[in-house]
Order: sequence, then structure tokens, then C-alpha cells
Amino acid sequence: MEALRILLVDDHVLFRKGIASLIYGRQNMTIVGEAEDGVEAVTIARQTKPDLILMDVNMPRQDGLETVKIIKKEMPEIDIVMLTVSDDDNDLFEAVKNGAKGYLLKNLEPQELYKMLEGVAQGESPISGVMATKILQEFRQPDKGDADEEVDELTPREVDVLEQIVTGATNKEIAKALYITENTVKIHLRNILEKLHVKNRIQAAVHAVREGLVGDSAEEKK
Amino acid sequence: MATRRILVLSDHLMFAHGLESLLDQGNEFQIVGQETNIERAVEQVRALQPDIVIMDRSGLFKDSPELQRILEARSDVNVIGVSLHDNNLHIYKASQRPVEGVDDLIEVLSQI
Repeated sequence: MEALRILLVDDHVLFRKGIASLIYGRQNMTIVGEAEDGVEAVTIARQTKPDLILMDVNMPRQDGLETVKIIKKEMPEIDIVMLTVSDDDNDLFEAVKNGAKGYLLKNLEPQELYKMLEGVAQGESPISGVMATKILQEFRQPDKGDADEEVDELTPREVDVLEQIVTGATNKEIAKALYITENTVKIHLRNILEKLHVKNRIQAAVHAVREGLVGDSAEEKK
Repeated sequence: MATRRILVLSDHLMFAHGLESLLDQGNEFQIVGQETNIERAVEQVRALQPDIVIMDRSGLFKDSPELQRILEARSDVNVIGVSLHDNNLHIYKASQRPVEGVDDLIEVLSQI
């Protein structure tokens, strides 16, 4: 299997170099580029076409959230995993809604980093505690209305899975609790995240129309 | 010159392990310990008697009067402060300099 090609983006020099050094020691992954901020990240992503971007949420000049939006629009095949000091960061959730596959806290062991990267490379969408709560809340909000397209709601099973994650259960524990396989848990997680992305895209589009940014109303506002 | 023995104090494990990976390469530096809490840090400063302590001031180790006291009491320990919120090396009591690359950290540590 080919090594996972990673672009590393963080404005903190020693942290970034440290992660790069750790990843160099792994057989199944390699660093194809480094960037200090979002603008540089987009440039280097275009040049190197990495498989995955590991990116800090908070950066000067162009932050993680903005950069996720740009990259997901232009190069949607690239997976993005966010790095953060706090998992309560609202920008973090926005980044996930806009297409980031997951996030890592900077106080986690490197083993968690490798596991996450390998998981994402295999198509998994790792979600954890606080993020699961936010996703549940997102789907429980009354629909903002006006959407022509139907937003897919979470199935009862998907809600079960998220509620398990909120309690801190691992995929293995969830599988046992719900009498399903671990693989099925992973499929549910992937679908949940995809629904979240779609919901976010629809809401963004509705918002844009309503604000007169696109479509008929845009002409009237001129 | 003798190998400089370094104790890393940081509750940001990914950062601490990253530093270890960067520094523990040749004979110049040796990471003799990594601690994530203040109590253990105080114990290890006493037990290990490191030449250098790299302290992450952006987490748990931000405000610790006891740790400060221990480190101040040992004139043979050199403390380098780092933070995940800025690209600066705080050379304890003396000065501060920005870090633009790993070489900057190595230069500061080599001069101790």
C-alpha cells in the first residue's frame, strides 16, 4: 500500500516540526509539504495534491475554517483533519460541518494521531464526545425552512450511535451496545458526517439566496 | 561536550513527543523525562537533576508558584519557556527570542 501523503499546516513552528519529525518515523505516511497559514496551505495543496491535510484551526492571515471551505470547493478529494487546543472551539465544529473529516486535540498521544490519520485514509470519519453532542443538536434544531431540497434527517440508529459517542464509548463498545459490528458503526459515522456536510451546504445556499448574494434577489439588490 | 539532559514539561503530549523526536537524535541532547503534571514535575526536577527544563507555559504549567520556586532555587537548571500560542523561546529571566526554525531552538539549547 502506498504511503499516505500529508500536508502539514500550523503556524506554530516547533509544534509543526515536531509532528513532521514524528510522522517521518512512520512507514505508512509521509510529509509532502508544510505551510504556516491558510494561504500557503492552498498554494502548496495545489502543487502537491496531498491525500490528507492536517491543519490547525487557528492561524493568522487565513484560518482553518476559511481554508477548509476553499480546499473542499476546489479539491474536494483531499481529506482534512483539524488540529486544536480545545474541542469546544466553535470554529472547529464549523470546519467539520464544512467538510473536515475529524479533529485531534494537541494534548493527545502521538498514537492517537497515527490512528486517526490511518483511519481517515481508510475512509473512516472519527467523531468524538463533544463533536457528537454538537451534531445531535444541529439535527435537532427546527429546520430553518425555505429549502427546496429536503435535508436528510438522522435515522434512529444514527442517533443511537451519536448518543453512545457522547458517553465516551469506543467503536467497539458501541458495536457491542447496539448489537452491530464495528464496521457498521464506522459506516454509520461516515453517513452521519456526509449528512452534516450536505445539510451545511444546503443551509449555506439558502442563506446566500436569502441574503441576496446569489440568484434573483441579487439582481434586485443592485 | 557532555550530553545535555533535558526534562520536558508539557500537558500537550503531541507537542512534547514532537520535541523529543526533534531533539533526541544525536549525542548532544538527551530527553531524560516528560511530565504532564505539576506534582510529578517537581519530583522529577529533584530526582533527575536535568541540565535544562523545557516548560510549556500554554497549558497546565502556566501558573505554578511551587514549580517556579523549585526551579529558581536550583541555579544549575536552565529553563526555556515555550508556548503553543506564540513562536517565542523564553530564556528564563534573561531574554526572549523568536523561533523561525528548529535550528533556533537548538542554538539556544547548545549555548547552555
